[in-house]
This record gives sequence, structure tokens and C-alpha cells, in this order.
Amino acid sequence: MVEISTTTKIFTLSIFALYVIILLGIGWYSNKKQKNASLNKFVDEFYTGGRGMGALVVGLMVGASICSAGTFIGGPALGTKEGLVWTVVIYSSVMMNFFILSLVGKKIGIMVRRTNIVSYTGLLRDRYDNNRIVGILAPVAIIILLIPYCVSQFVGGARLFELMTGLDYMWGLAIFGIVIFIYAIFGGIRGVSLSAVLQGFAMTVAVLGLLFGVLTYINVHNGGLEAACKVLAANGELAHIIDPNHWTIQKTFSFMFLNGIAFIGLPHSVQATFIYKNTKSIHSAIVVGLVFVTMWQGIMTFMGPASRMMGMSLNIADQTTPALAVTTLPPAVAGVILAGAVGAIQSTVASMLLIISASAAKDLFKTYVRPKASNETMKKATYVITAGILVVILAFAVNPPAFLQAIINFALGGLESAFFCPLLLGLYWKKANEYGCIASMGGGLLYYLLATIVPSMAFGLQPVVPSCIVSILGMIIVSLLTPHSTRGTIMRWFGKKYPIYEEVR
Amino acid sequence: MKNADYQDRTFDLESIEVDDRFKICAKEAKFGIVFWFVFVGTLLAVMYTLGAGNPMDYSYIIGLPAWFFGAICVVLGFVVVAGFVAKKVLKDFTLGTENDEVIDMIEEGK
Repeated sequence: MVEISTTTKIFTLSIFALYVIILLGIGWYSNKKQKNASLNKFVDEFYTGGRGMGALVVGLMVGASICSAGTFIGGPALGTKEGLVWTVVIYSSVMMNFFILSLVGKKIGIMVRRTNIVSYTGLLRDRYDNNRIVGILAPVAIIILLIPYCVSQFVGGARLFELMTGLDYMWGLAIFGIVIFIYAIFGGIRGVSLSAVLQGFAMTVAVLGLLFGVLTYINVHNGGLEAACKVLAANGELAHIIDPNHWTIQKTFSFMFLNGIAFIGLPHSVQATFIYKNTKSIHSAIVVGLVFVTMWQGIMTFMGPASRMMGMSLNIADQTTPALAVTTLPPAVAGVILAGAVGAIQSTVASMLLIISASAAKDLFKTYVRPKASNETMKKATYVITAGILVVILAFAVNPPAFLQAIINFALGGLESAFFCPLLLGLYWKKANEYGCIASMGGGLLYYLLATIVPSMAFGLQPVVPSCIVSILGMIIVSLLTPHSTRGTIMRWFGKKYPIYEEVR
Repeated sequence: MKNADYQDRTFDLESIEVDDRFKICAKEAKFGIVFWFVFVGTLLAVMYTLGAGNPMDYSYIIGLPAWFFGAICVVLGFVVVAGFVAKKVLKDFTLGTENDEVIDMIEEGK
């Protein structure tokens, strides 16, 4: 257990309080902006902010949606076990903005303007001819997989809060819940994206501070990096920390795929492509993301091995980051680390919350339960459903049941296996149709489930690689054997001229 | 356009004139995928060639094992190239529907 001094606790609490006040201000401001939007535009405004966001906001939102509790807590913890090979695996995610925005971002930007779609599953439903199975399976998969993932983020954040401030776990949960409630539910995507700017700032200060502290500590106490590495190399049990060869090339590759290009299967990462203003802003958003994500991921993922170089060994690996903070930094700066970690967690949770809410309110409720719901009803439904989901997440976080952990381990790879291929091929391959999509989504998810349970089916790889191959084959084979999509859909998704058809909206 | 035409699934896919913007998007997406594989391939090559052998015999550059230092250089190099591509190579165009040609649907039986 890491010992935190009272001075650190007080500093941490004050920095945290300041940070919370600014976030509440953002929520209030976004809500005021939103009230100016007319009632019939409410849902669009809530989920897309009027599609007028600039480069900084979009870039930081994509980046911050990727950098989560995993970046600040889980990643460094795993790094203490797997060493530098894990660090380099995470380096494959630093260009996420480039891949998400250049692979799918611009075409989605055009399609959402043609169709007024506000959600990831809305896109899939429209591309695959309003097929009911696609239309229901996709949001249900998102809800089932993302809720436990949000729970894990809350739990990680509240535990860190408890450790760093000395206040009870439940207080941490309550404060997190209220803050997110205010800026995400009252502020909608505008609140979430503006907060991402503040959170991005907090994360940047945190990682730079930590890197400086850790390198200084190693220089002073361990005789520099090289000497510290050589100590590890001479230690039979820890030599693998600086050696990549305890992972096969195939295994390293498959984890790079999971943490890399397959992110376009994650709805909360793609959400930012719905809100940007023009192609200039998306190109600059890529640059913003390259700079910041490289810094956040690049530095934090080095912290696990760095703690080994410092000679640290903790009973609870998840406390690596706070342990590094209090060991290497003065008390006032250590508080900033908490703000940074909390920022990373909140921004991820908030963007996931909006995705889950869009899936439930727009893709299930409005599309299948009450297609004739009035604008007034939809406004209420959006608030009620978003708040309800947050309550469910918090209730699970109070005492996380064991089955949740199983879903969490499954969530990222599961979502990627389900959505990577239907989105990518749907956007660029004319022959992709709804039958192919069902085979692809179902096949990908099922194979991922099987390969998680029966490891031999993964061939020594992260199961996401064989699952995506199954998913792509399913899409290609089934689509070629069945009639292609309707003329209207193909014209809208590929053509210069296309028909407007109210029901497809 | 009539509903029956809209729902038709037997037309020739190539008969539909593709929007130039989508052609650009498809090209950029292909580039992105190839770029990712080249990036990961280079990264893996550097890791497993410079990192081969016993950790005791590693050589070091600015205090880091050479393979890890190499990996960082590869990442930073590709990040710079990606930034350059984003600003200079990816094409700008309007996203809106103002230049689209919209076809009205004809309601039948009315």
C-alpha cells in the first residue's frame, strides 16, 4: 500500500476542487448554448453540437476518448509486469487521430450531412438498408459492452481518488457521478467536447510532470537510465522488462492491431467525426491528436518499466502511478497527477455515456419503440435515458459484480471485432450488404467469444486478429452470394445524385 | 424516383456515377491502411532485430536499450510523416450538401 502524506492529500483535494468547479462551469455554459437551439433541433444539438467544432476540440476529443483509466492506471500496471514490449505496443496507438480521421472521418462527415444521422449505429443502419437485425444488434452490443467498460473506469477513478485524498471510495464515486451528470447530461456533446480541452490540459501537465520526476529520480538514485537497465538485465527474474523477446512477433503484432487500427471499430472514438466543421478542421485535428496522444500515451506507457528501473515493486500494481507521483514529485505537483488521471477517465466515460445514450434513445427507442415520438418527448427521453444509464453504471460501480470483469476484458476487442469490418467495408465497398453485415458482426463477435474461452483458437494471438479476419471473410462471402443493397442506398452512400427519402432518416 | 426503383436490387452497381469526394476518401483510406502496416512492420523489424540476443549484451543509446530507442525513433518519425500528410497531402473539399443533386421521390397511389 502506498503511503500518501497529509500535505499531498490537502494539495490534491484543492487542485481537484478547482478542476471540478471549472468543469461545472463548462456544463452550465454548454447548457445555456443548448437552450438557444430550437426544440426540433434538440436531439441533433445534444449529440452533434451543430456540427461546427474546430480542430482543437475534435482532436482532443478523439485523443481523450482513447486515453482512459487504462492509460493512467491499468497501462502502467501492466507495464510493471510485461516491460518495454508493452510500452512499444501502446506506441502503435499514438497515431489514432490520423487513422480514425483519415480512414473513416471524412466520408462520415459527408454522410452525416446527407442523412442527419447522429450515431454510429445510425450510420450502420442506414448503410445496411434499415435492416432490423443490424439496427437492433448493433446498439444492443454497444450497450452491453460499453456499460461494464464505463463501470471499470469509474471504479479505477474512485479508487485512485480514495488513495490520493484519503476520502472514502463512495465519495469519489458520488463526485465523479455528479460532475459527469452535469456536464455530459446538461451540456450534451458540447459539454463533453469542451471538457475534453480542459481534461487534455490537465493530462498534459500530469504526464510531463511525471516524466520529469521519474527521470530525475532515476538519475539521482539509480545512477541513470543505462545503469538502471543493466541492473534489471542482470536480474534473472526481471530481465524480460527490457527484453522484447518474451513476446513472439505475432503476439506483439496482434496487440498492436488491438490498440491500433482496429480502434475504428470503437464507437466512442469515432463519435468525434460527427461533430467537426470542415475538412480543414479535421486535418488540423489530426495534428493536434498526433502531438497530444503521442505525449500522453508515449510517456504514461513508459511508467510501468520505469518503476522497475527505480527498483520499485508494489503488491498492488494498479497503484503504480500514484506511487510514482508521491515518490518522485513534491506534494503540490502530485495532486496534478490525480487531476490528469481523473480527466482521462472522465473524458472517456463521458464520450461513452453519450454513445450508450444515443444507442438507447435514438437507435432503439425512437427507431423501434416509438417512431412517432414528438420532439418534446424525445428531449425528455434523451435526458431520462442518459441519466438512467449513468445511475445503472454508478450502481454497478458501488460493488462491481465478478461477471463485469469478464465483460470488461471482452469489451474492447469484442466491439472491434463486431464493428471494424461493417464500418470500413460499408463505407468503401459497394457490394457490402445487410446479410454480409450480419454475418460479419455476428461472426466476429462469436469468434472473439470462442477464442477468448478456448485460447487455442486464437493461435497465440490476441483474439481480435482472427476474429476480424472471420468478420471480413463473412462480409465478403455472404455479400457476394446475396443481392447487393438497394439503388437508393447505394446512390446516397456513393453517388453524385441521390434520392431523399424521409423514412430512411 | 419511384419507390420501386429505390428498392431495386438488381441494377448494375457500376451504373451509378460516384461522387468525386468519395473517390478521394477511398484513396485516403487505402493510404491510411497501407501506412499503418508499413509503420507496424518497421516498428516490429527494429524491435526484434536490435533487440535480439541476451539482455546482458544490449548496447545503449542515451541510456535506453538500443532496440527501445530505435522504436521511439520509428514512432516519432512516422508521427512527423503523418502530420505532414494530414496538412499537405489530404485533400480539402466541402462536406455539405449544397453541391449535391437531390432526386425527389414520387409517391405512388396518390
